[in-house]
Amino acid sequence: MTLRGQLAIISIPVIAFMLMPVMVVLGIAFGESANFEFPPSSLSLRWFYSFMETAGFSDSLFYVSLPLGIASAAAATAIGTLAAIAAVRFRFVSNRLLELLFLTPLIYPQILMGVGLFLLYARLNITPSLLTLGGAHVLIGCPYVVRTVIAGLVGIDPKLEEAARNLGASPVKAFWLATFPLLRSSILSGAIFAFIVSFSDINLALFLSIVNTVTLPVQIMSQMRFVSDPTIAAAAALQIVVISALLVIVNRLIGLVRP
Amino acid sequence: MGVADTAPPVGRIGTQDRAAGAPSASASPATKGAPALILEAVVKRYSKDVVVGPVSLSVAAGEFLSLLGPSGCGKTTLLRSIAGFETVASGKILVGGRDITFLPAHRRGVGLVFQNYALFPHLSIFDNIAFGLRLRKWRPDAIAQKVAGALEMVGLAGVEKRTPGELSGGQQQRVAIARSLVLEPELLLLDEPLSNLDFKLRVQMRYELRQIQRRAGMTFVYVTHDQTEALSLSDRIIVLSNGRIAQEGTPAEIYGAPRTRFVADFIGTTNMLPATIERLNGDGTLVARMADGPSFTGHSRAARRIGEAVSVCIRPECVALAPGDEADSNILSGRVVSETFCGDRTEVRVEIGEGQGRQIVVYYQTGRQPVPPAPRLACAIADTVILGDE
Amino acid sequence: MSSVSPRLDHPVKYALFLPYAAMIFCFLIVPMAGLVEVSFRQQSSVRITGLGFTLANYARVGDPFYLGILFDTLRLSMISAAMAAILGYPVAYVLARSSGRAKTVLIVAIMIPLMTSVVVKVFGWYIILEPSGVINALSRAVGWGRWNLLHNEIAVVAGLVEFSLPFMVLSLSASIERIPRNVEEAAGNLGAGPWRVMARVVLPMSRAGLLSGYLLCVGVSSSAYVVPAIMGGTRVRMVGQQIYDDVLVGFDWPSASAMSVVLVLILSLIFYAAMRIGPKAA
Repeated sequence: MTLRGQLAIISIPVIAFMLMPVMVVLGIAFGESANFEFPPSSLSLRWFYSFMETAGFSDSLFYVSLPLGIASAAAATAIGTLAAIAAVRFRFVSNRLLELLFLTPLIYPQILMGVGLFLLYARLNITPSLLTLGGAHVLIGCPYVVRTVIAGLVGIDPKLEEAARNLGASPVKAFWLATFPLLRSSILSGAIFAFIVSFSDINLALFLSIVNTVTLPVQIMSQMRFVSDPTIAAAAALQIVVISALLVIVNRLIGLVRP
Repeated sequence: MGVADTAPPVGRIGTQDRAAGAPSASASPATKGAPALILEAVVKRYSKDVVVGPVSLSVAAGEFLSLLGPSGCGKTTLLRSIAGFETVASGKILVGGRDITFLPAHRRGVGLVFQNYALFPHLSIFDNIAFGLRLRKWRPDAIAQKVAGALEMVGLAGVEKRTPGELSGGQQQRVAIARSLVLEPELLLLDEPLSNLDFKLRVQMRYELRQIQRRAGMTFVYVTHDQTEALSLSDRIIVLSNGRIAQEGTPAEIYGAPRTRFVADFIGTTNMLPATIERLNGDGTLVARMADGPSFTGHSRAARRIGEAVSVCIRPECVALAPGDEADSNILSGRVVSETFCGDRTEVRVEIGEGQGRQIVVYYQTGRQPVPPAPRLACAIADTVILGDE
Repeated sequence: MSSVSPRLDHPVKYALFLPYAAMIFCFLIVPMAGLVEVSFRQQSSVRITGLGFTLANYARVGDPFYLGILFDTLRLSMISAAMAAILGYPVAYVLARSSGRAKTVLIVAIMIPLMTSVVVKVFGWYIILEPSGVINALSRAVGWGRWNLLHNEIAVVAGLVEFSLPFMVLSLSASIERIPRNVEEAAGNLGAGPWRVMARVVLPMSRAGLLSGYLLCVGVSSSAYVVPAIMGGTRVRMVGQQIYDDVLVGFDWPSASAMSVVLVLILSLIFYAAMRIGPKAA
């Protein structure tokens, strides 16, 4: 058997381990039983109905997490796309260093970003709101947009823009007519990533969300210890379903193989 | 200047082509008025290194000029400077008498066909060709007419609705040309446009490119590293080496009378034999002798002194082999080392002299008489050019 | 003869990256500077941001209690990163050497846990391990009784391994992909069996990726909060929990700030090393 075949067999339990918590959450959320039975003996959507009827959960999804994610993804997409264009198409003292700076929010520990902002807001007497949390979410979404858009831009033949200029388009118009249409799927993918990052964030929200801006992950976290029935599993499963569906869309758009 | 209207029927073009494309027709296109392109001492630098120039040249309207050279000789850089994608350090670029040296690329009115075609993959063929017309705010019905005419000109009528990805390499090539032609530029620059095609198609497109140029009556400046392309397509060839002009002339001149060792070596296959000038004849020819070997009578474009070290350059097809062992003026004595059959010809390697290991290559056309099977051969040289260090 | 078009130089470039730079400045650099400042303040019951100037907060990091937390954090992170490397290597190899549909399925299987909220995954572990959870239900059914599987180091390590595996696999497979396939074929052609090819060719050639992936995972794990907080409870304590508690429970901001600064310094060192070793790991 080939090396790849042998390692593929070894990989199966590892991948199962990676997917285990996700699978258990899905199984229990879609199961009929109220006793956290896994694997479920029968399927039902009752815990999702229960989720909808529990104001704490459904409010945090529809009034906090979704609008927060959409708004911060939109902002991150605009900001990140501009930055990516700057990094790829323009000359700076060191473009390498600039790209590194653009990726810092990715490696900077989110818990410290959360603490730092919490202290800052408190000292400046800024009342926490969806806006203050959203600002932080925009920042952690940006590097994903920057990365996908840079990858997209690098993959577009610069000769296309030159051709457009040769045919009479000014540099800005050439970018808009020749490059931008090809960049749309990368930008959309970046936007989706930015949304996911906001949608699944816990470390920032732990410090920055207050009573009326409780995001879905924070709600799950705080309810976990008092878990009484699989409604919370339905909440967690919704996260998984939304994120998986979005990942499949990204895969259609640009392919995840080279993210 | 309706491009499509003036296109003569294809049959007639064939005959025209044969007449005008003959290697001797050096002067014919140059009589049509103001030069389409003039470069005056153009110099291009990257940081401090001069990569091109100074280069001065002039291209007549309607001429097909090739810039020929090995990769890294600066030919593409020169082309991109004319198109406005590189800024020149000094010198002037004039198109149709207009100084465009400092114009941005999109205001130059110079067409450029890219090596990889650079068709817009998200646009249909129609939209690709209409791109420039739309930027110039043409009316839709005029655009439609113009695009149809351009597609007909390149022999691709009917593909308007397809996208570039659905076309073959050769078809994409033609669309790229049509996209530039439709704007009727004073000058069309082509950057190795055939190098991405496979061999058969390349040969076919060579012919069609020439047809299109004649039909449109346009000036082409064609960059290539392929000497066969340059020789077969051009009215005139400029050979570039290290960013400078090594030689310019008609294809026949470039091939038959190379002026430097570089040109002789780069164009076609050449046997170069070291020799010393022995005698200057009164009629312009001179005699050079190899050390301990035969002498050659040949031409030299530059003045020579007696005793000067030179290279005698002999084209492989200018040698006739016959049985025999005498070495004489313009006859080398040698022994066949190998024969390589190449289809249309056989390449024969002949070791000349005695044990010096010096070999020459001789082409023997298939279908003529075979290589004489004698142990020693006399190689009669029909034509030689004598080159110095210039 | 393709010449790469040169990058442009036009003042508009500053306008393009200014918004992002401003975001980084306001939401990352300024808060960090605030943490540094507070870390040098004395604790005060009057002002939560502290008073005066002191080095006591950093001196306290040297206390056995805080030092123990730092040490445990690094120890658990290193153990789980090592386990992630061992478990992740085969997956990374298979991913690197797959193509087409198989590769897409694999990458989705890795991306879903990567992008899903850590809270969701920890909740999954919670219902697997808790006293009335999935494993205990099985155990009782077989007659092995009831076990407390949460709130110990093994649970925390399991959570951290699962948390860092996707990072490890993606970073490793990027470096394995860079090994030309025909190098392996050449080794096979010279008579090496699959495992010898692995030991003598693939593993040595992906050493840099392995090390940088390892450091990346150590870094990611050592700033974790949710995993140790839920899986470890009060028994296992990592830096993230200490900072969280100092800020939101103890209101001891100077201590939390000093600890944060120390953590940033440690992580900077780790990520710098990872970057120097491996090509573009993150």
